[in-house]
Amino acid sequence: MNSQPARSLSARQVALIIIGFTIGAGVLTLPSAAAELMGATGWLWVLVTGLLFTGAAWVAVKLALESPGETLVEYSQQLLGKPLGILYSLLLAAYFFSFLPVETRVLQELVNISLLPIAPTWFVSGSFIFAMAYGASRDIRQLAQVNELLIELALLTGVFVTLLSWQHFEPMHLLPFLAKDQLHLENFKVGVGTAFAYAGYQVINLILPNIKNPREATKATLKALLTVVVVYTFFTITVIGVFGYKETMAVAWSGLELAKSVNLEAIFLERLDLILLIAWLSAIYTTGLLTYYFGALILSKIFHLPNHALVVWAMAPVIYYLSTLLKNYFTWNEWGFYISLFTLAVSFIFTPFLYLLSLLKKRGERGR
Amino acid sequence: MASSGGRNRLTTFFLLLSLLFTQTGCWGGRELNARAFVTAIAFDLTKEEELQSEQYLISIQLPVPERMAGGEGQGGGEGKPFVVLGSTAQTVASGILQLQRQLDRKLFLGHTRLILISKEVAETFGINHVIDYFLRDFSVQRMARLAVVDGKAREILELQPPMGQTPSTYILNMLSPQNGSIFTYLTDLGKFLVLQSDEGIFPVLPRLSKGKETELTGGAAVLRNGHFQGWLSDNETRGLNILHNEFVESEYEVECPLHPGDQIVVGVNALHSAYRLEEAGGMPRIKVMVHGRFETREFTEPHGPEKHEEADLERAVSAAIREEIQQTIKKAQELRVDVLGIGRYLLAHHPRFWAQLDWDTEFPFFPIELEVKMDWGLTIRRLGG
Repeated sequence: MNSQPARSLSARQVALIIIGFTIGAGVLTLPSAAAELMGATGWLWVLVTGLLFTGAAWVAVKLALESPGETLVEYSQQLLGKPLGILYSLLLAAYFFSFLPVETRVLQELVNISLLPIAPTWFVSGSFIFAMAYGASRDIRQLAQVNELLIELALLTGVFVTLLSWQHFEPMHLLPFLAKDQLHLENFKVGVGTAFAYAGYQVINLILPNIKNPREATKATLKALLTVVVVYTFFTITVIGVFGYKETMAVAWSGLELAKSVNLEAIFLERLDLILLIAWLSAIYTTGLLTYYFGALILSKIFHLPNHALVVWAMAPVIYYLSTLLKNYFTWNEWGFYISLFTLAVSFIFTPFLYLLSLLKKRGERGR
Repeated sequence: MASSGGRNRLTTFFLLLSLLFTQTGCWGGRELNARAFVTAIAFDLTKEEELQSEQYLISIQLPVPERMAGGEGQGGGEGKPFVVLGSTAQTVASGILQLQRQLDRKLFLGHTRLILISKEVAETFGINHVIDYFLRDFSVQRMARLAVVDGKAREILELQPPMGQTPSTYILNMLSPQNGSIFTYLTDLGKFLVLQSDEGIFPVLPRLSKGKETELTGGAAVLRNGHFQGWLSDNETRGLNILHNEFVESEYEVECPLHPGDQIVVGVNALHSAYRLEEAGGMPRIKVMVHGRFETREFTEPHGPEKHEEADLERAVSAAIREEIQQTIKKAQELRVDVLGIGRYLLAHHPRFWAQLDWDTEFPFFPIELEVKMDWGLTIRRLGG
């Protein structure tokens, strides 16, 4: 079976794959971190870092377009040499797989706090990993279709609940603008941790060979990133505007608390938090599904395996084991911090460096 | 090695098998008749004086569905359609544990919409102490209503509603917009938490008290760091609603400017207030500007609205509203608790000035100028007497 059917993805599907990967568990805690860093002006942190990541995504897509028929696994070896290229690809695979224990653990927590309070870990995490593995073992076309459906559903529900919560919006909560005593940018760990929410566009370096028209990749990537930035910024403005920055810092799951505040007395749907939660499980699933697929794809390419599905199923017990190590909110935040560090390194060091190398290589070839 | 078709069939088989085990119901699902739905919780001091600073009495109201079968509040069986159980404890969790021992059903807080705290508990323990459990329990909604009871909170839970509702719906409605009383301060757990965490403002909670046969709303409890500081009267609460821009509609009675001794009832239905920091004689002061509209609704003597009384009537209505708001400001300053949100305004719009202030010390003496301007919006059905 061919894991990567050639040139089958539309630009829209690519944009939604990036959105589906990026928007997951991170957004639920993003406003709290932003409020901790910049108080009432926390939304500005989300906006500025989002734009920086959009810039990083532009570099990534430029790098991908240098070799439109290949993935990062192949051209990293050409640019860095085989051993370093393989090492970088392995690191990238580990990076993708590292999301899965966190996503699994967050899903476990959300299911336990709202839907199935006493369902055991082996059942919730186990069935989630099984569902992800089943999905990730398919080819990119099928993943793109599933992702299209689920991420749109999650986003529509999320935006609906966010808009409803504007009945409690207090503009004064967003003031004063950049008050000195509310700025805690020295809080390095929290600042770095927010990068977790922006990880995802790196997949463009793996799916370019599958895009029908590679020329549309730049537009699709930037569109996706800008959508993410708008969604995140709007969500953070809403959360801080409704709760004030201090209460935002105090709540662990600001999105759920927002849904718990919304009152639709005339309508039978009183528990909007449950509706949001069920929809948001889809967003977590799409992130998990895509990271799982791309992690397995990289490994199968490195080791020249005929089918990435072998890697997918082989990794399932490892992911389950790692997810059990993340025993609580603090430990998976710690794990998220390391993922964020790597996200920053990939976005602002490794990818620009590879792009620079490819430009130099091209110039060298022209010179010859 | 199995063929691709065979493998797919095998996968499908295992998927269907897993569905068989997972789709039969919720994990740990509990039938409705195995749950005891807590609709309201009340906190009072215990009767034992030596324990009063350590423990409180937790009372919960549970509906009894069999007794509700004949119609809302009417009771299908014998007795009240609800029961109230109580326990003394040091924490809410241990209180619930004790209460659970009296029941054969699992207590469930997902439908708890009312948390009533007696004034004494708010004074002795503070609101934060008793609500902490509810902030951490995921099943409790931020929309749950909070109130401070002037008297025994448990007695409110035991009242039968005068009209056909379930008891908790009755109390809940009394604390909701449906109540329609402008003397009630509308809030809930979420709003309370937000105001409590905001700088430059302290929250208030609505007051509940027991009348002869019904409960009464009106007035509000002023809190500082969760501890009770004093009451706002009915009129002061209406004034606070104006200052918070949460005023919807209310009637005021003023003396007729053209016929001394006669009363005119006016309906005020569009009020807006705003704060402004300004300087007067080199000193900073807050100017509170209230603008609104009213219409004439009732005359005690046989004459109707007249064109030439417009300016005087507007002045009279402005003065009545001004007096009420002034009273609210005075009470807040007397209690030394900024429930008006002036500090929050200063922090948001004048952060540099705010940074120089020790607001807790300065608020009671901070000059506040009040300007009220009311317009007569003529919606008249009848001109003559």
